[in-house]
Formats: sequence, C-alpha cells, structure tokens
Amino acid sequence: MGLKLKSKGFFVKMLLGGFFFIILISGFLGFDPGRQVGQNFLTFAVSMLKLLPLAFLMIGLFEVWIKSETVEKHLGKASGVIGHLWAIVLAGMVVGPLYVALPVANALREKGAGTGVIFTYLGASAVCRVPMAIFETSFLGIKFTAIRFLVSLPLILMTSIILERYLEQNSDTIMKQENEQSTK
Amino acid sequence: MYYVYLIAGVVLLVSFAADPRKTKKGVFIAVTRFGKIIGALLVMLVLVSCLPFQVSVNEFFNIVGHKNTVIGILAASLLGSVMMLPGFIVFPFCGVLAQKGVPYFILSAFTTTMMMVGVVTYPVEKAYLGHKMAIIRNILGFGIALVVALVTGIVFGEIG
Repeated sequence: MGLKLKSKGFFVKMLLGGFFFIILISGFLGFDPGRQVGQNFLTFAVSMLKLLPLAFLMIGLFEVWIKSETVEKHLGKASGVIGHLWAIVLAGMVVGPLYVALPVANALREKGAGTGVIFTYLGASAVCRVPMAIFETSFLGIKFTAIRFLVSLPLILMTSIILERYLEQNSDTIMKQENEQSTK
Repeated sequence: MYYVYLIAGVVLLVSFAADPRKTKKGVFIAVTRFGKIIGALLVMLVLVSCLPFQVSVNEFFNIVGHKNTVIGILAASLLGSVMMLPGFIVFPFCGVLAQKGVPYFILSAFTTTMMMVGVVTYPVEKAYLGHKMAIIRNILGFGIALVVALVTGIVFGEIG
C-alpha cells in the first residue's frame, strides 16, 4: 500500500487550474456561488493545515524511532485478534478524519502491520475516535453512540479479517500490485 | 486542540535531545511524505469545497425523516457518503434535527456514512490503498453504516 501518486496528470492539472481560475474570477466579479466555494475551500484548507503537518511530523518520528519488529509483533499477521484490538485502541486516540488516519495506516503498514489490522484501524478511526464520541453523546445521547460502537466494531473486525483472508487467497492479483507499488 | 500541539512539541524536543541526527531524518521523512500526498489532498479540497451544503439540508431531512424507512435510510446514507463536515458542525446539527423529530436511525445512517464512507476523500484514499482496496473499503463501510442505522432504529423503537 505504498504511495503511487501521479496526480501530475493532465486532467488533474486542468481541474485544479480551472478551479482556482473560476474562484479568482468570481472574487473579482462578485459572483456569489463562486465566492462561497472559495470560502469553503479556505475554511477546509485551514482546518487541514492545522492537523496534517503535526500528523506527518509524528509519522516521521515514528518512522525513525520505532523498530519494525515491535510493530510486527503487536500488529503483524501473527498478532491475531489482539493486533486488531490494539488497532482499535490506537484508532480511538486519533484526532482528525480519514485523511489523517490514512498516512498513519500507511506508516504502520510499512513497518509490518497486517493488512487486516490496517483495515480495522481505518474503520475504527472513522467511527470510534474517543474525543469525537464524547462530543457526539452530548448532542445525541449515550444510547445513540453506544449502539454505533457496539454494532460497528464487531462488523469492522469481522470484515477486516475476512478481507485479509480473501486477499491472501487472491494474492496473485491484489497483493502483487500492492507490493509493486510499495517498492516503486 | 492545543494540547495536541503541546504533545507534538514535547515529543519533538525529546526526540531531538535524544538523537539530533535521527530527528532530522524523521522530519525529512515527514516533509517528503507530505509533499507526495499534497496533490491528492488538493483534489480532495476542491471536491469538498464544491459540495453544495448551502442546499437546505434542513428541508432534506424534514422530507426524508417522514417518508418510508427504506427510502429514508438510503437517502440519508447517500447524503452522508457524499458530504464531509467536521464533527463539531455535524453533531450539534443532528441534535437539533433529533429535537425536531427526525428519527434517530436516519441521523445514524447520515453520521455513520459521513465518517466511514468518503466520496470526496477518494483521491487521497486511492493514493494510499490503490483504487480497488479504496472501493472495497468504502462499500464495506456503507454496508456497516446501514446495519448500524437499522439496529439504531430497532433499539429506539422506530423500526418494526
């Protein structure tokens, strides 16, 4: 699951270029929907910039300090269900949405965490972030949040384990691509 | 939020004190990885900011909340999959909707898909997982969200 980003593609360049062009023009001409979109863009960009540099800094330090053996032992294929539980605990402490969890998952994967564990981590980090859950209960009640946790976690665990098995059986097709990507 | 910065600062200092060379290497890794993904992040940002959440979501839920169960869940899930809003906006908003009488299972479908399924985060997800895995993950997330919503409806006595 290494990076294989080739967003330098022509289409993407056109999209981004066109987008910023339209936003700029809207700003000058006072075209309100365009201004609104520009406003949205800024708001989201700022909230992302508050989180991402920190996340990547921690990933960088994780990369140089934590030994592969440690990750492999606790989150690797041999770790079994305990590895998945660790992944849930890790995910519970994450601050920030999927675009933060993904690079973290990528770093864990490169240090030897199992595929299934990674999927558990991604799923759990979507649903079970503790700071967010506390906030949620204050608006929707503890019953609402409890149901979400109790129903989604077992399902996430189950699907991750099944997915890992499936990927192993079809290792010729998918895992090969994955390896090629990570060796790039 | 600030305690996160504080922790990060302390970790960085401790790391530097322990081994400056390693720390520099770590920071270098951080910068290069961030640089690699920034294109996909930009695409995601553009998609997010084009989402028409000025469209009256309020009205949407008033309609969806009182229609039949299946259509309600599906519509709320699809909306949740497409939209991406931070938690501090979504949950207060859903709190208000709940008071207005929108069923909890509808809100559950909406918030769970918003967290588990990301149409707009797809460019970033694809960069990390490859398109096949990204699609599988999103479909599974959607399915799980549907189950969560159904159970919510049953427990709250809104379904069945």
